[in-house]
Amino acid sequence: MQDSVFLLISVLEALKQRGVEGNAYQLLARLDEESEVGGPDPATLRVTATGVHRPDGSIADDVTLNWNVASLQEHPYARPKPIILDAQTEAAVKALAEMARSLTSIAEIKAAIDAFEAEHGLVGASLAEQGFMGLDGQPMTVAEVMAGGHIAPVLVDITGQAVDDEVIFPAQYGSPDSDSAGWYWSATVDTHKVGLHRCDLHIMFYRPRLEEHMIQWDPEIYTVGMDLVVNQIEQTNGFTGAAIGYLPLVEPVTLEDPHG
Amino acid sequence: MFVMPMPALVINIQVDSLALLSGLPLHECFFVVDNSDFSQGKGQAALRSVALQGQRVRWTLTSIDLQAPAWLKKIEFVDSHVTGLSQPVSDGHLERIEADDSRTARAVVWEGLIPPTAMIGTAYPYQIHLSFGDDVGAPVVVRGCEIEVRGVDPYGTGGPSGAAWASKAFSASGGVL
Repeated sequence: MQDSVFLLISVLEALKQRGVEGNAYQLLARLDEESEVGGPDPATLRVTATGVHRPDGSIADDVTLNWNVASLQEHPYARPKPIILDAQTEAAVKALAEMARSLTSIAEIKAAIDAFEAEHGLVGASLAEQGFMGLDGQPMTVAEVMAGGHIAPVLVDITGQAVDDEVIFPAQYGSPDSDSAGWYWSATVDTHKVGLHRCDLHIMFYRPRLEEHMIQWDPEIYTVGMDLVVNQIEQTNGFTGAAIGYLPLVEPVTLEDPHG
Repeated sequence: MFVMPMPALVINIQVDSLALLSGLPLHECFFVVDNSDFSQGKGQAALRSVALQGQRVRWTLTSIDLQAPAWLKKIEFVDSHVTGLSQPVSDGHLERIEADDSRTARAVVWEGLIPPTAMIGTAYPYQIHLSFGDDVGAPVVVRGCEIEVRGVDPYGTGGPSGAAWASKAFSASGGVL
């Protein structure tokens, strides 16, 4: 079965404290009857993986874990999006290109670019300089971006004892979900290895920093531990409660038609 | 002489959980198929499977919507041919079926053998109990499927061999010999 480990992270707190411990909340893992959702302490990350085994020990139903990381204080957009030039600026860029062909000296070209930039902004602006597109499609100001939130954190690695002992086999996959920067983590579980295991989730945050009126997002990776409880239950036959047997057929009753 | 083991009759239930719980009609969200050549109503909500005495029958469940898991909670043979849901889903009051025990549906396999005492030519109706999501809450019961029992295949192939029931006429007669 597929299981979701959904983490909601308080980004502001994590950046402030330079750590995820206590700032990540396990919202809901669709799990078996024995799993704790949040547990007594919602900040305790604890997942139960219950494998179904046949009486001979072979796996009848394995467990695949999927990690989803979401953030509080997130920008109301998924990723920074390049802002398309408006028609007026586009025409000015074309005019600049035309004019540049007729210029002969470096000084003339420089003067033309300076004049263009004075009117329309930087030429060849980087993604950060172009800014962020808000929900309404308009550029967000630096102040709006700084006040509005942060880039969503991304799970970048899963390590630890559970991985070393080959209890879980994590792997990173491509994803069309831009919230996770196009990646997500999934792991199969060896449910033969019953017991309490521990792994570390490495989560990358982006700390905004103002530099020359532009926002730089510096990546910082913090780690949070997660408990993994592996259980086993034995597969049984629904009809007999044990091994396969004869089906409990019930003779159908034919009702007489009272008006017939 | 080498005798092929009789293949199991596999009845696969495919359910669109969200649609079913949202009250869509059964024929838009509940589909039952099997691997028998003689079954009627494949892909519909009321499948009439054909099995032989002694044949192994296994039910499996597939949730069409991967985000909304469904579980095969129970297969229950009943004495009357009624079709549809035990109670309409759309009115928001599902009949709560008391579970026989606390076994999680994941760990239960619904499989059995057609007893040799099964009446040849008789269709045995059964109802399907489904649970959803975390496998808690009221199961939804779908009625209308049945298994029609036919005689033992003398060649043990599980396929059509007797001329008596190889023809469509047998099916059309409602299984009456």
